Amino acid sequence: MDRVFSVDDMADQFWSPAPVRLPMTAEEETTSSSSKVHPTMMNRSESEWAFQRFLQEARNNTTHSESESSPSASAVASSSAIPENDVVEIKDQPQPQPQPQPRAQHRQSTNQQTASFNSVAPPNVPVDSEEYQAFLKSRLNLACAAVALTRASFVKSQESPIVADNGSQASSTGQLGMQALGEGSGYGLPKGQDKDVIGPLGIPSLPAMEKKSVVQVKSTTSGSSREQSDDDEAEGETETNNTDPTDAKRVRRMLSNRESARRSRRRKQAHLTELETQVSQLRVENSSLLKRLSDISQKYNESAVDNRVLKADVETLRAKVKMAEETVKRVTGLNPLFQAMSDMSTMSMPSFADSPSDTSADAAVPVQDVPNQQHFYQSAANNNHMSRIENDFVDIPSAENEQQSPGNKMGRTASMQRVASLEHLQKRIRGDASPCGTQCNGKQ
Amino acid sequence: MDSTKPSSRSDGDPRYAGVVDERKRKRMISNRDSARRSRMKKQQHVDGLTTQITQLQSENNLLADQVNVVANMYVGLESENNVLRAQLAELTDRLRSLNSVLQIVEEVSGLAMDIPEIPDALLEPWQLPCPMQTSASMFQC
Repeated sequence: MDRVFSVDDMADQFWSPAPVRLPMTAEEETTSSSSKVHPTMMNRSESEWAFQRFLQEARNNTTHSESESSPSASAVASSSAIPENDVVEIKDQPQPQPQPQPRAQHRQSTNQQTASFNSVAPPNVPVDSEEYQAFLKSRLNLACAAVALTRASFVKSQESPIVADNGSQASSTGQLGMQALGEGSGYGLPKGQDKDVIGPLGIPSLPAMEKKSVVQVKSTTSGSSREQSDDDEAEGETETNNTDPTDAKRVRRMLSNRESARRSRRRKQAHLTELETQVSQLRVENSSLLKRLSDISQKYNESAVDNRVLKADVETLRAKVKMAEETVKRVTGLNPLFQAMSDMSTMSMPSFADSPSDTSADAAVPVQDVPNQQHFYQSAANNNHMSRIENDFVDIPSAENEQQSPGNKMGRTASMQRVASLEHLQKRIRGDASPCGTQCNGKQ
Repeated sequence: MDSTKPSSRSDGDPRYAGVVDERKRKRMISNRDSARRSRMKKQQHVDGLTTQITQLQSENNLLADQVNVVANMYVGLESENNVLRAQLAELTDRLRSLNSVLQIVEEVSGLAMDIPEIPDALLEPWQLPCPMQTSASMFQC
């Protein structure tokens, strides 16, 4: 059970017995070591005790094995006995045990010391073992020197971690203290760690306080400026113990999260206000469109009414004109002499009919040029319209006068027409029956 | 809510501590619920706004189209009216000339002629063909 030693035991054992042992005399060694040894190390003292017995036996046995094996090997073999429990002890001694280097050394060093003491004190040792003892002694001294060297280095290496451990424990306690204080005290710490701990601690605590206040005062406007500054001073409070980097990272992440949360809140708010403005804007647009729609539909209705009225008027007028023409015909009918004149009048009539429609057509065209291109197709529709009406218009008079081709472009204005007809009347009255109708036409 | 504040009297008898914890727990639960409710409400508000926006946009488009259609019809009709007015003017002139002819004939032949009078409707102010309103101007007003 003793075979496996935890590092601490070994270290303690190593640590405490070494100084103790040297000044002691062999006899007290077993008792003193036990007494010296801390009560907690009882198991070690037992192993000491077993060790002691083992040594004596080893010395008796190794005398034979020593001569065959090489000097160094035998030293190791003889001294590398393991502190087993009593039963196993005797059996194991002769075989060289594969020991982890440090443990062997321990055994070796203690073993040698006890051996040297024993060899000196006990008188009952057999004579032939004396040369052997001399030989052993010399080798022991050699080994002792080597062991001393290794031990020194070993101790040193152990020492630093121990101190470090102690240091860390101290620092962890210190850390709690510091958090409570909120200030970087860093007492009792190795110089190196101390410096950087205080530095970061100092800075982040200040801005943290400042940021909180600023946030309360101006929540939105300072948002952008806060973002830049937060990003670069994301150091945050770092603990002093060796988990420094992870804490710093944790704190940095916390700060950046806080910042991104703030940004996302602000974005959401902006989105909401934007939605609201859009809704109100659309509402206004909607109402204006409604108004325009009502306006224009009203205008449309009015013009529809006009249209109907106009159509009716045109119809009545046409009827009247026809009537008038018939009466005129009747008048000419009474007097066969006037037959030519009636032809003439009918002829003038259609020409008369043409020119007005032409003029209206002309009138219509310039007016349409004024409106912009957008309504071109309407004006086109309008023209067709015009031509259709024109045809109707001409049809009526042409019913009486087939020869008159609707396309005959007479340049005379309406007044000229009227003058011409008056001349006919006068000539007729004066009895000049010449068919001047055709001449007039030719003349003009 | 700073529910983590250690209540001063918690070190009293355990029963009291239980009550305090209970109350704290209840408050925490109610807070959580109210938070959830307010989030839901806000979300609904946002959704309502978005639906309104889409609705209004479609309605506006519809209206705009309607306005265009009616405007075009109006322009077409107005032009037709102008044409009719022009015809009317012509017919009136023609009738007037015929009438004059008839009157002369009447004087000469002494026969009574029925001269159709020119309907005074023609002389009404709206008769004057107003220059055809271009639809562009209509849109501007």
